[in-house]
Amino acid sequence: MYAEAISLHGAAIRRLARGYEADPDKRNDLLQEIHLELWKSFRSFDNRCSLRTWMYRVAHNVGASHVVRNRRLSSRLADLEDVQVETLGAEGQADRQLVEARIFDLIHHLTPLDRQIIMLYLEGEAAGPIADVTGLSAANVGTKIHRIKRVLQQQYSEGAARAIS
Amino acid sequence: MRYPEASETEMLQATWSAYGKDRETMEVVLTADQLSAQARSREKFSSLVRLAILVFMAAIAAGLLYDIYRVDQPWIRIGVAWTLCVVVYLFGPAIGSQAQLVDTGETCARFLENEHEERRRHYLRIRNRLFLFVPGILACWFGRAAALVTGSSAAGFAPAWLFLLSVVALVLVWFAFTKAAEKAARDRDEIHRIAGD
Repeated sequence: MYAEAISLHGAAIRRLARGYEADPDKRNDLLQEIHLELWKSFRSFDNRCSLRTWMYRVAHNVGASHVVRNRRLSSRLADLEDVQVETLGAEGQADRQLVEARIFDLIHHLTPLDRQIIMLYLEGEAAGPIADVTGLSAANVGTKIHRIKRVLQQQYSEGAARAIS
Repeated sequence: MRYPEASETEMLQATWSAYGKDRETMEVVLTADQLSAQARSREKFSSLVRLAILVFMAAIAAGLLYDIYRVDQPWIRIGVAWTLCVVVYLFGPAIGSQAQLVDTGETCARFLENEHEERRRHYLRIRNRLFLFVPGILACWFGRAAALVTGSSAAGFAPAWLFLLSVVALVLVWFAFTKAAEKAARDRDEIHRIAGD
């Protein structure tokens, strides 16, 4: 089951790990921890939710736990509602790397729950499945997704404007 | 690469999806044997950490035992012996116990709520047991006063400021754990509020 989950969602787990840890070395450790927890967790998998939902729950929980453990040493995290969009770098094209960097920079400033929602949204999940993973109500998730769209569009627009100028 | 404005969100999702697919160096594909070995290695490391703590605690206990043997003032002996018992009572079970298994299959909100609650309980557990050090400190204080009156050699055991310092330190630690528990409770309530909306 572990092998099946990894073959289907291995790339999503790598993106998730990057969303929880910016430092490459620590990220690799986190990635290994996620794999280990996933492997152990399938012993208690009872088919009450889909394999995908279960995998996301376990991986996000390990990631969130990682953030909570390390937060004491770092700056305060912001709610999605309060987040200020920051510009990255001085000059540059709105290329994939820049947009990617802006997205991850935004994610790294968010609280664990908001990170989960934004990452699941970017994975293409709808409000219902996100609610299943996070435990929030679908309406609550819908509201947050609306805010995420605005923030992401703002991020994109700034990058695009810089590319034109 | 310039994104078309009509599908900004889709393009952002595409950028997101592209990450991780083209990074073979980050590939982590582990076999069951490797994962099992990794689990054993972590368990071994955790055992080593417990052993190191045990050695450290044993050194403190040996120091306290030596004081019990060396000091001839009975109240100070009682105070130090009491402190030794409290140290063993507080830290002994923690050294022997294994790390708690957390249910990572819970929904993320419930998981975070449980984590914060567990943290709050942990801080309060320590804070509420700090008062156990008070009788030991008082006994040592009383013993020192008695030694001063009788002119015994125990009068030189510890200066008065050391007792005052230990009381002040105890109060400060108590406040620190209270604040940490309050912070954990706020974090837990915040998650509860968001999940309940």
